[in-house]
Formats: sequence, structure tokens, C-alpha cells
Amino acid sequence: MEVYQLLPMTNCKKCGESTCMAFAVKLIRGEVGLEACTPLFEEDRYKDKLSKLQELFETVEGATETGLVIDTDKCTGCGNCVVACPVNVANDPHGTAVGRGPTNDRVILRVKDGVVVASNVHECRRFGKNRILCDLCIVTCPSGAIEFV
Amino acid sequence: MSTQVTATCPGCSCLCDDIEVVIEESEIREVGNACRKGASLFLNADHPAYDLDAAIDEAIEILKNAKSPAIFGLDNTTIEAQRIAIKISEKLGCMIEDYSSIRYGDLLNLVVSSRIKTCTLDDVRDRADISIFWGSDAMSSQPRHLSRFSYFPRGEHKQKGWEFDRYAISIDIYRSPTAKVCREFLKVSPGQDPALMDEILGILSGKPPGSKELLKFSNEIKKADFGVIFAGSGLIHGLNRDMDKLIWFMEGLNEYGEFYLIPMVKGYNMRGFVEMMERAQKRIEGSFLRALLDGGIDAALIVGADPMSDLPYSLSKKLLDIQTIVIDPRDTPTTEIADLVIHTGIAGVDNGGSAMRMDGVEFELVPCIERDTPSDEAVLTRILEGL
Repeated sequence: MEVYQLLPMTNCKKCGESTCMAFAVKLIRGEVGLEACTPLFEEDRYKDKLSKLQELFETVEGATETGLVIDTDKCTGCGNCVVACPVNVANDPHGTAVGRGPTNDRVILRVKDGVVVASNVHECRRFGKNRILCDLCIVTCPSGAIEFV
Repeated sequence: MSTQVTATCPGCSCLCDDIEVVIEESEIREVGNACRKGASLFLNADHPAYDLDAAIDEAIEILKNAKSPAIFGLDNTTIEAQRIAIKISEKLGCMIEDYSSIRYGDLLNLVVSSRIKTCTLDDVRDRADISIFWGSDAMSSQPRHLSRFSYFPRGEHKQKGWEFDRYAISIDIYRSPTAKVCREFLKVSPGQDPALMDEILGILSGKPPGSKELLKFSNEIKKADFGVIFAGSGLIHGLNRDMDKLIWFMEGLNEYGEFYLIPMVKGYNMRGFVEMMERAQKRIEGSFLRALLDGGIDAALIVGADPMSDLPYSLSKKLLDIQTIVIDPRDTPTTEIADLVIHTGIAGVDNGGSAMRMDGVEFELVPCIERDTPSDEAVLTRILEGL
């Protein structure tokens, strides 16, 4: 709602969506960029709204396109998330599933140079058609280094 | 042109052997799978060159001229180096000690002599129903312990891992990082560990539980066929070093299932030193700390240890009054005050040797790259030859 109220609220359809509400939903999901709303950038009367929106989404810039943020200062490379991630377990039954390093490239989380890095994040169960609110990498982290924005 | 090798990490007593090291132009570029502690050992640069021959000559001089030298440390070096250190102590007729009694009292000896039942970490991963971290903050000291063995992974008889097949509890004086990720946390006041042990065995034998947490914990113990206590130095402090109490408790638990204990040692090869002394039927004579405090030592050969950091200052400041030779890969507060520092390499990174994991399983550490720095074993061998 907060995001919707910072948009023009004119339903001009220039972004390709039928309403500003629909655009707001896509914006939050990260499915579309703020630049698609051209009136925000072209018209002076939306200057304040634009800067507030840009501030709002600044924190998300460090995230992958699916919203996974890793604080490498907090991460100790313990590998709890690597071993707990159900996608890691399913894709690497002889490696991360049994507590060892990854044996293939289809894992989402792995430890490199002492901290965890993400890859193949589109495979994460929080996204896609049958998404669930999986939080295993978050609850198993002793230092709170993983977040989803 | 880069190559990749699999290495064993000397960061802690887990001795993880699945470390993927990428080497380019004889330098380590990337380290995969090692935790932050281990990765730093592989990635950090080495020291400026120094005159090794002069340093060894000086060490020999110091030891020859000392009236009552002593050898200390040894938990962060290879079995081969430890053996040479023992030979040096026999040659000089001097004291030699590691941290095992200081940190764990008699625990290591009880485990190594099978007075307390123990098992391997692989057994834990494959069979443990319940993991009890008592006075041990594994997430800080041995970061990959829970993800490789004791809680999260799936094992041969534990196919559903931590989600359904394994229970973990942390018993500690505060909510440590380990307590945060375990299923349950039981807070114990400092020194109240014996009372807690009484309570637990009491509940198991039918006494009414004092709290819901204790009831839940005792139910998990009853359900378990295979349980492990990971004993840290916190437990030894909490018991005030009363090992009889611990032995009694382990025997009590074993009436409800197979319960083992693994000592969560600090020092990647403390277990190796203790086992080697046991097999050679040697005992540690006297106490280095007592002798240091009483002014009974005039020269200390410190191998792979940092007593200025991990001993109370009232004790460690005595090192400032005596001659100190420090053999260590690192720059530490102890190397700062040392009279002579000999920088050696790191086993598993630029030299090799064998070491024992906390559960007694032996690993061979093989170098990944070549550097000019000598190994602890090489330096100690030259010192022995010169004496």
C-alpha cells in the first residue's frame, strides 16, 4: 500500500500494467524495475514520490533478483544453511546433504573463501508458481547473516 | 593456468578433508568449503624471509644455557613434530606440557583410556539420535561441526537429518550461537552442572521434573538409542574438574541407551598429543603453569600456542621474565614478547604431517603449495640434533 501511494495513481498504463496497483505488486516482487513508470521520471510533480521510492528500494539493491541478501561480515562460513537447504539436499545427495562440500553446480548455497555465496537462486522454494515460505537457511544461521527482503 | 586440489584444513579439531583449493601460479587463489577460520589459514600471505640457520643456532644456545627449560603448547602441530618435541624434552630432562589438562582436566585421559565411552564423528552423523552440547559453543570454536556431523546432515541411519531424525540441545551459562541453532537451550548457572546432572538422572528414574524443559529433555533421552555429549571446557569448569561426577553421569545415562562423549578440544591435534603420550606410556610430569608461577622455569620453548592470549595475565606475564622461543606460523601477542621467533609453515597448506581429529580419527595433511617456510617438525629436528 505504501508503495502504491508513492506512484502517480493515474492508471495511465504506460508501464504496460492496467493499474498502478498491479505495477506496485510487481515492483515489490522485483518482477519489474521502477524505470518502467516513465511519468515518475519525466514529470516534475512526482519528484518527491520518486526519491522516496528510490530510497525504499535502495536496501534491496544488494539482493539478488530473488531477494536473497547475505551479510558477509556476519557469516562465519559454518555451512549450516548449505546443509539445511532442502534444494541443496535434493540436488546434491552425496555432497551437501551429508554434510560435505558440494559435488555439483546445482546447489543454491555454498561456502567460498570462508563465507556463503548464492547461485541458482531461482531454484529456491520461496519463488515460482508453487512457492512456500521456506526459512531453513535463516533459522539455522547462528549469526543472522542470511535474509530475504 | 589454475589447478584444483582437495585439502585437509588445520583450522580446528574437525580436520575437514573436503576443502577445495584453487591454485594459480603457485599461489592459493580461492578456498571452497572451509569455514572462515580455516579459510583464513589458506588465504593469508606468509612472512618476510629470515635467517633460519641463525635462528636455530640461537634456539639451541638458549636451551643449552638454560637451567630449567620447558616445552609448552604443541596442540597445533603435527604428530611428527610432537614426537620430536618429546625427544627434546627427554634430551634436556625438562618439562613438557600441552593444554589438555589446563583446559579439560582429566577428561582427555579418561576418553583415550576408554574409561568414558566414546565414538567417532562419522558414527554421530550416521546414528546419533540426540546431540548434547554441554559447555561447548561449537558454532564459534568448530564452526562446521553441526553442519558436517552433529546436527544438520543426513546420515546412513539418519536419512532425514535434523528435521525429523535428530535432536540437539545446548546446555550452557548463556544463549551462545550454538544455543541459538539447537532445538533446545537449557540454561545452567555457573557451577551448577553437578546439580543439573543429579536432576536429570533423578527425572529419568521417576522423580517429578522441576520444569517443562527438563521433562522434554529427559523424554528425548529416553527415546534415544544413540546419544552423544559434546563436552567443552565449559562443562569441566562447571563441574569444578570433578571427573568422577561425569563418569557417574555417563554411566547413569547409559542405562537408557548408548551414550558416548566426544571432547570438543581446542587445537587441531590435541587428541593426537594425548593419544601419543598414552601409547608411549608417558605421563605429563608436574605442571608448567605451577612451575611458571613459582619461578621454576627460566626458558620456554613454545610451539604453536599463544599463552599471552589464552592464559590469565597474572600467569602469562611471567613469560616476560624468562627466555622464550616461539615456533609458530602466526604473529601473536606471544610472538610479540618472545626473545626468538621462528616462523614455520602451516600443515595442510605449505607442509605436511599427520593429525588426529577430536574423535581420534587420524588424517594426513598434505601441502597444497610450496613455500620457503620450514615445518615445525623440520625446525624441531634441527634443534634436537644441535643439542
